[in-house]
Amino acid sequence: MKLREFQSLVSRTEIWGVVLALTGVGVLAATAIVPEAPKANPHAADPWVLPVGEPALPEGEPAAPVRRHCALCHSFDYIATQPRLSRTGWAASVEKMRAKYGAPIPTNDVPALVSYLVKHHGKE
Amino acid sequence: MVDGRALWSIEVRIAEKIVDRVHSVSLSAFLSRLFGASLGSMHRELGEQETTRRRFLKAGLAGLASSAWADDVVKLPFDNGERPLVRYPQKRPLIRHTARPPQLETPFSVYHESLLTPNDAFFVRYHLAGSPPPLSVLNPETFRLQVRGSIQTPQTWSLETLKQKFETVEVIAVNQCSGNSRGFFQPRVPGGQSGHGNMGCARWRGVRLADVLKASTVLPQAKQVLFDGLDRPLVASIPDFVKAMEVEQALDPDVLLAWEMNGEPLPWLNGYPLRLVVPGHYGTYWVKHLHSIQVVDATFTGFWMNPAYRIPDDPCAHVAPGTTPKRTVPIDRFNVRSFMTSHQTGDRIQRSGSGITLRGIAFDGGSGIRDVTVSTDGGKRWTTAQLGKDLGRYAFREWTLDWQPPAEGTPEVWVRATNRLGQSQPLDALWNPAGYMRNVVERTALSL
Repeated sequence: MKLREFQSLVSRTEIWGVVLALTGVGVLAATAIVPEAPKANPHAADPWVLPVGEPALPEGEPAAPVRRHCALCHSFDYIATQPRLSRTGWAASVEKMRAKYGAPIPTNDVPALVSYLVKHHGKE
Repeated sequence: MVDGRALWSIEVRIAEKIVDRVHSVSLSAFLSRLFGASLGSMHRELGEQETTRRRFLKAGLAGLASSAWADDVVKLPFDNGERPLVRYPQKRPLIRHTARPPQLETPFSVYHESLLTPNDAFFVRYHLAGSPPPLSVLNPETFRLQVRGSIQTPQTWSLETLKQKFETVEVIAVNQCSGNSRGFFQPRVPGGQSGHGNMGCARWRGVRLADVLKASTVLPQAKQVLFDGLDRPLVASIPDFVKAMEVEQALDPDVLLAWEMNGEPLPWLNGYPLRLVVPGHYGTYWVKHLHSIQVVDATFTGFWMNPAYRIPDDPCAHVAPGTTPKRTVPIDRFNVRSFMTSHQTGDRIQRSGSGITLRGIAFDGGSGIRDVTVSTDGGKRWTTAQLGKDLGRYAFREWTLDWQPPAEGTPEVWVRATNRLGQSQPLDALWNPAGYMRNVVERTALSL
């Protein structure tokens, strides 16, 4: 192992030590979202660590609807990379997520969510 | 601007050092991420963190191209096609469509490097928030494959016993996402908006699924075989990614349980330590991190077989643009596709004494490519290209054609392949609401 890789591994392990100590009961949740403390992959030089962070919402775009209804299952770029959909198109996408896919989106919240998607990522 | 390619390896080192330092200040982002999903409150913070990190990288690299993580942006040739190039574990920088779960596309220039797509450039497509599965459940020593259901003898296999008990075989096969090239659909359709890079050809090594099933003796009333990987949803209401195949298809000797890709263990993001390889069939069936095989007596109707991954019940899998199919069936085999890889739209070419060589690839659902023809006059005349070495009926087939460009104008190169069943590619794109199976004759406009 090269010195640089070793240093990198040590620094990352330390970070994870702190993370695990601070999270305590959060350990189970942690394994579901990110891999645990990075270990050297026996088959490649890269440690098995995913890039940190997720794409940001544009300046001024309200985060609440995405946080509440979408972020449980996917990052914001799932929305931002879509073509500009019509109201019917976004309504169908939300309905697919809610009714067929099983996303826990209360029916009462659907109109507001669709309006948000049309306003920021759609076309009227 | 310094040429990024020449300095790539140095940049990677610089960038990784910076990223290491950034990691130490990004603890809050980590914590947000750990708790965020369940509390639903991390998005804004993560977004800010990402922006900060990008600025940091930008400043640190003083404008050098090709940073190790996320700084370059590519523009795919359709509206809203800007995507970052991001480096994931065991991967070179790939076109990132989405971060969680990750969807990464192969830059198209890779297909001109070699017929076999390198592991570090192979595309990545996940569905569920719990993807990729954590290392702890992928340990090759403790990993187990369960075979159960409508069989005489339920079995539990370790990787080692699979390797010892069954004959090891290899196949060179293309894996292609059902929605490869979806971004080019007109009218546009929702879903992963990918360019042409959600495909790859690799040498897969493993054991035959048929041998493993026969060792358990499938019962006569069995109808389908279900496959489940270790990627999973984070809430109980979301359906796990389970795929189904008819028993006859599962017993096809070409279907493998593979642990190796191009002579290396599968990359983490391509299904380590074991995945299904279904040559000629769309990637949705190539279940990654495969840990459960269940034989059932009825047609499985889970979300990922119905309503997801279905096509119009029509020989060409299409309907009139903007309409809904009356009847659908599960997506199945690849249709015929071909691409030019030597030149891309906008490239400048020059006349020379011996002309220039056009080169590309073609593939289909497993009958093999019979011929590739090229037109440079809008489809009036078609010239047969020379086919390269045959790596097997499931592999990319190389084609080349020597061509003298005209003295003036903006020639457009059209490529069309035909398979051994006589199936070919349409001149006008076919449409379906899910954006699957695009295989129109590709056109590359060049300039002189």
